[in-house]
Amino acid sequence: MLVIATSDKGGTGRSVTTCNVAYRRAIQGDDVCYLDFDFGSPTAGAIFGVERMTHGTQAEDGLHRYLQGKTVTPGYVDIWSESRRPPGTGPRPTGAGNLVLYPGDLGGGEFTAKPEVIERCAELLLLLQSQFSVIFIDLSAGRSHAAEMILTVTAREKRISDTRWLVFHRWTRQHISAAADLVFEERGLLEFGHLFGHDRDELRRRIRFVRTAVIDPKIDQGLLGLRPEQEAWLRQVDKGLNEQANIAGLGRTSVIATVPVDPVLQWREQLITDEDVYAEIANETTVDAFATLAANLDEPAAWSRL
Amino acid sequence: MSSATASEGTLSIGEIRTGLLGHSSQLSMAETVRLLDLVPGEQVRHAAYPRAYAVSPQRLAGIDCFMPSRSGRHVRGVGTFATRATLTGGLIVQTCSHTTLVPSSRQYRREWSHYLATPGVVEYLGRLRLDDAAEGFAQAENGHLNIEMGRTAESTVFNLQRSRLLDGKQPLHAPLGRWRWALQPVRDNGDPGLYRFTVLPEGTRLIRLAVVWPDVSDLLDLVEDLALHDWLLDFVSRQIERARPGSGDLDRTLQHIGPVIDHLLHHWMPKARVQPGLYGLWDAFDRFQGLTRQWDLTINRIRDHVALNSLRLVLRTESEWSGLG
Ligand SMILES: Nc1ncnc2c1ncn2[C@@H]1O[C@H](COP(=O)(O)OP(=O)(O)O)[C@@H](O)[C@H]1O
Ligand SMILES: [Mg+2]
Repeated sequence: MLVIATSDKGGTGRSVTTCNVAYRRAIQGDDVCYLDFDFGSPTAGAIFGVERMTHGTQAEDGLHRYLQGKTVTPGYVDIWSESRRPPGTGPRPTGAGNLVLYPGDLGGGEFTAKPEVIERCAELLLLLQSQFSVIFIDLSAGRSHAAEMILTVTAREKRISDTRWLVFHRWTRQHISAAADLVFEERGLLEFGHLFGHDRDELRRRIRFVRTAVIDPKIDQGLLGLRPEQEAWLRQVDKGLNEQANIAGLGRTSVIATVPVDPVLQWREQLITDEDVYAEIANETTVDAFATLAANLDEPAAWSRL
Repeated sequence: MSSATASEGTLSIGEIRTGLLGHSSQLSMAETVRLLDLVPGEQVRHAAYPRAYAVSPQRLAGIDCFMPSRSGRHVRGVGTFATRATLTGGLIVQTCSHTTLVPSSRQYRREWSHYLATPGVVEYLGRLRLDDAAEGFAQAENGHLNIEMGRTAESTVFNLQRSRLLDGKQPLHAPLGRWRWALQPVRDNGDPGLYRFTVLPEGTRLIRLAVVWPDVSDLLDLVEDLALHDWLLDFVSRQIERARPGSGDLDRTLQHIGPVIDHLLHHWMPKARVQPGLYGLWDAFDRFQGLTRQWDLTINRIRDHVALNSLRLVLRTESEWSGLG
């Protein structure tokens, strides 16, 4: 299964959420890999806690160079042995699958989706598909060449069949309309997808939205120290946003997860472990949201309602 | 084609990748031959017994670089390394890039035709400390490899996996097994001669062996066979771990164990492609690493589990029947 994470804007929580979901999915027993295609800001190394790759790899064999034909195979990192998060992870937890990061290049910049590049991308995905049951791709924000490349590959290469798109957005008026535009409007995913050979309806059925850093007025009341008036006001705003989301096509049936705002993630981009929850540093609801999303990636019920 | 022979002053080194083809069923022998046809005009060798097995012709790559080293010594070498691919049981793919380092009779680089005459051989110019080279390549965690055969072995897997012969619907996803090895010839003194087996934190296996056997291509068969069985054991035991037998989640268990029974278990066939004269080395490795012992335990665990679950099903059905009556 190929899981493609995208968003209209940067700073939506796409990378942090996707890394955590990949981590949860590996703990649930799948062999998982994570491709950092966000060539503008490859942050997955930092989130997974691989110090030497905080801003992508320096080994000149990252995905960016691989796609340009500058290395015959891309470099990779085994997260269980190289991450310092969770501290001293050591060997893989019992029953967990592999967790491997294919980093982007340090200062890789953008590139164009030339035919050779698309060919190399297809080759890589086919190879990884034979080794991993779930492949995560962190795409750059907005309408990018990387997105064009992935749309083309998934339309043309029939052997890469089980593809799911996650569109990340924060729970604000602006983010909701930006995410809707990215999918439904001119030059959006559906239109471009159709142009590159996808069936529009079929592609639509493969897209779900993820709401990130959402404040729940009721639960977060204590945390934020809200007065009753403020809580009531937040509730009102929340209702308004829900109405907006429904009209924009981001309503309940097309949302696959809502990730609550988390104190740890507000401070640092990182994996949240069960230990963080026991230590009461991170919220259990956050981990639950990640784990549930991980499990729902191929849960028919989560994908059938459109 | 490997015409290299191992003798004193030489060192054979290589990298192996082991994985599963991205295909829904075993390839037939005819398809296998087409898949492995890496060099136009050269034959794919194949055999049907004791199990389906085929070897591609070798591809050569020219190199002129420093030799591997633990200490960072700079000894230059010129020549070629060879890459071949094999398919076992129409399903398990292995690629192997390898070369044999031999002393050069001259102190300067010669014309390429000279090196092409002995494919899969690199001539080193200067004094190479073989232990230092072997250790740097296949023992030390941070040795200087200098010859990047791993990339070539891996990109050969890339090329095979994208073949139009494959449908991409593999029943199992299996991680690539990575082996890096160095074989040093020694005089026969009755010692099985296993030096070192190291597993790097990310899973790569490093193996150093001392051998009395002169034919490098026989040695390749041996290391590939070891790598294949080590990979098979590792993969199957992890599938079981993941299936969580005894957790009561029968669907989960079957989902992980079912494909293993259907597609992999019967490929365990130690030494099937190894020269009888090298059985001793295989057995010595097995004694140290306990491959067979672990495999037997694993298989028994699967059998018991399957038996137990059948029993549960029978009992459940019976009680449903008696409930009806
Ligand atoms: N659930 C959350 N709660 C609080 N902060 C979050 C949450 N998810 C992400 N963040 C924070 O938002 C910022 C942007 O996240 P990031 O994953 O880098 O976004 P993107 O990949 O979309 O650019 C980071 O500082 C991150 O820690
Ligand atoms: Mg990001």
